[in-house]
Amino acid sequence: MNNREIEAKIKNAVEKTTPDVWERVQHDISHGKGELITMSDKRKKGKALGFISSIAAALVLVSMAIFGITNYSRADLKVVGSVYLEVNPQIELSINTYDVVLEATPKNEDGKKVLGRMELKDTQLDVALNAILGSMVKNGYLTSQANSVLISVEHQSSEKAKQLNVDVLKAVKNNDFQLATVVQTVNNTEKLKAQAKNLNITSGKAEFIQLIKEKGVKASEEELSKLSVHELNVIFQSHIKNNEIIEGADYKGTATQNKYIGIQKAKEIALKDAKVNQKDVRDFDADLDLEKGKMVYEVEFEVGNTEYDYELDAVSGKILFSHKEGSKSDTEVSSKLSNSTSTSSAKADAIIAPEDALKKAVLHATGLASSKVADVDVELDEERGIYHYDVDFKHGGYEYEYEINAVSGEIIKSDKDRDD
Amino acid sequence: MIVFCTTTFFGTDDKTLDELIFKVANKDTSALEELYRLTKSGIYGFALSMLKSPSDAEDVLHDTYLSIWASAYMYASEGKSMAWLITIAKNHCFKVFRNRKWSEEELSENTADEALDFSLSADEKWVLEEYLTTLNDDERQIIMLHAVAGFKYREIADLLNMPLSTVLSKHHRGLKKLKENYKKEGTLDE
Repeated sequence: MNNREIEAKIKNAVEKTTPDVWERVQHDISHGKGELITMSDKRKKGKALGFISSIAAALVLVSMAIFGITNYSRADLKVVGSVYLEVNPQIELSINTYDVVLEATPKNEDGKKVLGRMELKDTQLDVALNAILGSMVKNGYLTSQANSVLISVEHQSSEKAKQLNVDVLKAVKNNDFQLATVVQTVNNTEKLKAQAKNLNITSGKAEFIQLIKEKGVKASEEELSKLSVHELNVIFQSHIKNNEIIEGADYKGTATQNKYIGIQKAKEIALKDAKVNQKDVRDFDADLDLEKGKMVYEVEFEVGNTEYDYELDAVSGKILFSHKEGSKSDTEVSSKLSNSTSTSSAKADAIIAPEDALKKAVLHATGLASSKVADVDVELDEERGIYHYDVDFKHGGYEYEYEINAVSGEIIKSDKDRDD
Repeated sequence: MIVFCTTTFFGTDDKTLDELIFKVANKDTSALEELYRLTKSGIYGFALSMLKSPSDAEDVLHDTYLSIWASAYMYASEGKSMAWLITIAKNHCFKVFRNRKWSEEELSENTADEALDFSLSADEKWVLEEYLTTLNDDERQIIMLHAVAGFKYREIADLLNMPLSTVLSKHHRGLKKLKENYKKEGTLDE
């Protein structure tokens, strides 16, 4: 089998085994599961229900008075989920099915200070959230220098949890300055609890660290566990692309990085050290990571045939590590690719499609369209850093072999043989 | 026989997908269905390449279209629709990884067998199983994106944030492994 046949077999196998989930999808969207209801929409429902249930409650009270009934249960009193705020202070809010707070519990000393004598029982969740955030600002736990809040949401129903996630993010209002909020859905299994206990942090923070690790952060869980929520958020944000949808986590606001020199400054320092011009730089990438407990910028870029790697102290901007790699690396090959084309733009390392290489070869050999020839095989190959397609096919009793430059499309070699 | 790894997505170009996504943003169910029919194998294949488990890939397939339905209004990357769809699927896969990490159950090792459908030829079955068991994560993803989702190498490089040459060499290396193993043990229905 050649490459093309293997890929075709994989394609066929996947297409044949792809399960049909359309009915499930259709069912779910027609039942509103794919919809995001806004907090205000739901508030209206909640209020209406609240009104009805207060009449119901009155009736219950009346009947209790009459018949002496002592135990009763209502959806209003049942905890169905919780919202856990963490800055440094930690506070847990238990809520009922109408997003009304049933209990607000401080989870550490700072949390107690923030809650103070606030009475949040029976308030709507969004009101309670903003009251707490306001108090965190007033007590100096949230400042314009450290403006991150981590909110972990847990709910009996995973569908409701998703909705709650979005609602909570929407509900968070800015104070005197913009807050950087991350709201994540947490499924607090025994394993997660064990991991959190092991690192001596909350389950929410353990989950957030996991999310950050997935984004390509190299630092270990132990190292990350020692950082504040704000520092973690700064790292998180340096790794996510604009508007990227992250399943199970929603975010808004920019985490302030006043403590750090910033990506732009890091870029300047690295380019100056490498003695290269901004305009020659390709594939620039910089993000924050943790190296031996220290925040660093990891900077990577390419100029011509050379790949540069830098590590900068994120606070002082001092170069901690630099590395320059020239020939024979993967990256060198791709820059050779771009050099071999007439245009030298950064996008020049695009490779032509195999069909186009075939089209070119067949047209050259027979003057026909590529659909007219038999036994086609097109394979990409590399020699001395130059990529080319080996194109083989048969037509009219002949076997043809072509080599086509994979970037420029020019014919490097052609061969024609009797097909016996 | 002339079969190609198409550069269009299942014979559909990005423009068609763009239009469908815009219709989905206006809550057009039939547009979602068409989008689903056109892209489901690419999405499923990609999820399978990441998760190696057909049942988890099936869940991701389902969740991905629910997310598309809910967030199509945010779509703004015209011309890169398939990459947008794949990114949504990828984030669902990460959620599965997170759940696996915290879950009490161990993932069954015997994942490849589940995927084997009776309708597959002996060779297809062999290739798919070999694909799931012998290739590393990068090789699996690159080959799947190229062979099934119809991405060009350059697009794969952008999506996976790898240099183009790395994509090419990993693609090459992955297929080479399959070819070599095939020489050793394959030759079923050729």
